[in-house]
Amino acid sequence: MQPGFIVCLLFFGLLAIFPLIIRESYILHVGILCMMYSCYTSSWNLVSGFAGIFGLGFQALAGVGGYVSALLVINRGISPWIGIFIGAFCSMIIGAFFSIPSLKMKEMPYIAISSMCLGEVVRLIVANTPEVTRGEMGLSGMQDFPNIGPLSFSGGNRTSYWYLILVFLILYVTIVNHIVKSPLGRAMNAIRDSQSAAASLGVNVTKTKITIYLISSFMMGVIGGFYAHYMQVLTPSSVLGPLTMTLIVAMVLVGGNATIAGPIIGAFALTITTEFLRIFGDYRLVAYGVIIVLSVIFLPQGIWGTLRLKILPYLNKKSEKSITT
Amino acid sequence: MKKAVVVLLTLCLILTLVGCDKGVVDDGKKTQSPDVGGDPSTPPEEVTFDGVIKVGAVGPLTGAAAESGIAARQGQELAVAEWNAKGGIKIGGKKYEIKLLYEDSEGKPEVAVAATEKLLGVDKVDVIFSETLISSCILAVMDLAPKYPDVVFSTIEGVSTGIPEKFAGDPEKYSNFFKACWSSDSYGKAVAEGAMYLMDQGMTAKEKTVAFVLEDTDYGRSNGNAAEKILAANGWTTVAYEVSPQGATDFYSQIFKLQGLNPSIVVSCFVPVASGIAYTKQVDEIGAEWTDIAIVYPTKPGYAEDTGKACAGLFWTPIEVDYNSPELLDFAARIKAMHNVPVTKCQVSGYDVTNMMFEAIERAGTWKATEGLSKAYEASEYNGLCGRFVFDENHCAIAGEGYLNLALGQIQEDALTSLIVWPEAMQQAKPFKQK
Repeated sequence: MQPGFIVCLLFFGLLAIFPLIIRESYILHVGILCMMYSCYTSSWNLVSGFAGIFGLGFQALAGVGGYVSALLVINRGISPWIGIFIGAFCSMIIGAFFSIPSLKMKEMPYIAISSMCLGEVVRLIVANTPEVTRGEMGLSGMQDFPNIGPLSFSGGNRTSYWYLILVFLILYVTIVNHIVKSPLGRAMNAIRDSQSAAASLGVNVTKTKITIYLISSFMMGVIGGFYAHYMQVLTPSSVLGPLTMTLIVAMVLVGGNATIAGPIIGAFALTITTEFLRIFGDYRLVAYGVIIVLSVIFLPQGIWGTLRLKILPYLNKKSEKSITT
Repeated sequence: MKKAVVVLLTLCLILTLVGCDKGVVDDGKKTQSPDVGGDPSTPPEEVTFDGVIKVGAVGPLTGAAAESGIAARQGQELAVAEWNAKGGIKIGGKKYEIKLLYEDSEGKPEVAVAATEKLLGVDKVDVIFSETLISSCILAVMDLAPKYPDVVFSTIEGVSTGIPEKFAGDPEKYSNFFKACWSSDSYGKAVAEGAMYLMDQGMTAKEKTVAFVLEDTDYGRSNGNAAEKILAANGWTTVAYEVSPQGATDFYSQIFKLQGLNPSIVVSCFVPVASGIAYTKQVDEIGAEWTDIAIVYPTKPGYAEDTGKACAGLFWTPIEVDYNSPELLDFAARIKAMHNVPVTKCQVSGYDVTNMMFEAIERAGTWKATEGLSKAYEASEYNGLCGRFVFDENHCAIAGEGYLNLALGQIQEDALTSLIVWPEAMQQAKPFKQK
């Protein structure tokens, strides 16, 4: 069994037993946010880290998933279990609408700007159709997820939502791992390193980029739907605003780009840090900014990247030395 | 070397920001954070407390609404300091010191929920004001109320009609949740009825046409929608409905557009004072001829000073407080002494609602919702600086005559004072035509 797989098992095992040990609602809520952001960052990292497509505006895809799911549940009485997947499918359609014309471009700045505009366009459409979405007045009235066996979601049961998002996170890690190790993943890596070289080796660059973008859009949409039924209130500024994307980018950079563990580590690190920094009172966000700046300066490969490239080999070397002497 | 320089610069920046902290003012009075048990008013030496009542509060201390969130906090801190100075809350012959613990919601629902959970689950506060201002955060936090049935939840402001609608959907579930402010339909009524009154008085052109220039927030849109609905029901036509991001300061394109449409009345709503100042100056510069009705921004400090004569004659709402009354002047002096800032409406709201809560605790003889505080708070008839606080059947404060003041005022020719022109029962001066 590979060490990485063992670490993964331990990590998810710990997450699985955590709510059985810690019942405090606040801590469970923070943990749910950590896992939710881990799903966001893993989805985005698939496109940005592994395929090299620095697309912004991904919060729009999550937001579309959330709004579609919420509106279907409120207006049509559809079960949230179905609503989140219809919402994710709609996110994928938006992703297709953007990616098919845009990802033919090779230069990253153009993709970044055009995807950022996508995010703004979606936000403005949602904000300016209050008769459908209630705009900035807030869409609420979504249901909790219906119960599954012993798991009851009513009343915002933190433990049940914990396990639901944990299942999503495990699925997402599995999907990302599978994609990265598949021929599609190898094509993504080739594109990231050099689109021209990849094309010369027979990789269909545009098709690969669009495929991975659509997969990522669907994944973002599912978690957007989760957010909608967990928080039960949606506003364009809180869900579709650019600050959400900034947070996702920061988490991936801090955790480690183009790795499977890095985005998850970044999501956990920054979410927990934000809450921990409440002890700084009014200077909380100042401290938060300083931490991000320092981590980008001193850990340019991110936490996981630094661990993997510098600390783990150093520890391996030391243990080999102690064995031989 | 480069990294060391960057680190050094970062440290210098932090030190600069810390040095800009207004916590220590020149006259030697120190404003301590209440969450470290600070109490700027020195209690009398002889007061000893028998216990502590922990009061939590969650509001937007950072983000777009920080100006209002911090103002509400300042009002609450003053109320806490004054109660502690007079011996705290008295229950059953015992004196309880009030400890205020404040957390930042950043204006985001998930952060507001986290902050509220922390105060309730970790800090174990006895009473909570959450969330203080932002409707989307309030809607998210409302679902925590049933999980903590022993704690009374109260907002300070927050106008979304979604909140009383959610309460009405299950009053028993939200029995310990209170919205200590009116809803946007009350705002809409004040704007619409005020506009119709002004037309009757010959203050506007004769055509029943209206335009809206609003900030793209729940506050802006819900107030605008409420006013539009009532005006439409009275035969008015909306010729334009312009929305700008919160904090925008360039309204030239909207103003030129409205000039072409020439509405009789333009209703504008901005929370950041910078937007209000910019809008007023730009309207004055272009020489627009419609009658302006402003929502909320003329209440902000600096508005009159920065707009100068451009704001003379402006009609605005809400005049909830009479800024010239002896009570308000005294309150303004106390806020200035404590925080070294001019008085604003959010401070008054924070002060009044907090006092109302403490008064209800004393009346109930308990801070537990299930042991009587919910009922006592629900039955409040508190006379504050904003007016008389009474909750309706949806746990929402009532606005109107005899309740919370929601009047239309006009900035006088001196461009500094405002007098109430509507409703007539509260009229302090007759309206005059804007330039």
